[in-house]
Amino acid sequence: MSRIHLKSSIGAQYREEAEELFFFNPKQAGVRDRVRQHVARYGTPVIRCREGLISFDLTGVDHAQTLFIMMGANKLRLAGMLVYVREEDSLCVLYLALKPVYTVSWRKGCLLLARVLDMLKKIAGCIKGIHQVQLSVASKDITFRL
Amino acid sequence: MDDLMPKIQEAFAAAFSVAPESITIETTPKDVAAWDSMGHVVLASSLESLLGVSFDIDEVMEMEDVRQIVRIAGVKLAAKTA
Repeated sequence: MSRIHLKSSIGAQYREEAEELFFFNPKQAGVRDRVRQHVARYGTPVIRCREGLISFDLTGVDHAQTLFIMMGANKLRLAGMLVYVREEDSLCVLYLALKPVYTVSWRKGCLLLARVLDMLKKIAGCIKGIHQVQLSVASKDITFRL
Repeated sequence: MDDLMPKIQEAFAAAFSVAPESITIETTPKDVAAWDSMGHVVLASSLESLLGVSFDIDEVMEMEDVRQIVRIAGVKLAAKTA
């Protein structure tokens, strides 16, 4: 598997790709109830473009952060993205979307997800006061203590 | 191996809301609709809670079916009690 990079913002040339990944993901139907809960609590996700860089905001809070999952060595390709907020001592991932091409096989999808979560836990461990990562994207919450 | 199956079936039930007895040593991801990449993370977390162990990324990736889960969990628990 290619090298994975997590970026907090990416160039505007990825906008359409990111919109399709986030808003028209084929897996979205399976997490519809969870999306409704997050929209009610944190507001609607919107894509913003500032100074040639895109990011996702949630209309109900001002502290949402986006991490774009990029793959490759020289030319980076958008493989997925996640949106999280800080809740007391937790980093809570509210949305996580992977491009279908990277999850075409069970093993490939699991490997990408496991590596992204491993990187996320390392990032979270460097944030002062964060003691756990909570994944609130599937039907059940998963908590990883750091 | 047999001793572990009830706990593993319980972990599957917690992760995927399936009947525990529907999970056998022969079960693979193809047999459980929700056992996709995200489901696999949910399952690993459920196994960790129920067995009181922590799996690293390589172990999680080796859990390709129930037979492998039993093997890996057995090794992990043996190391814990040693």
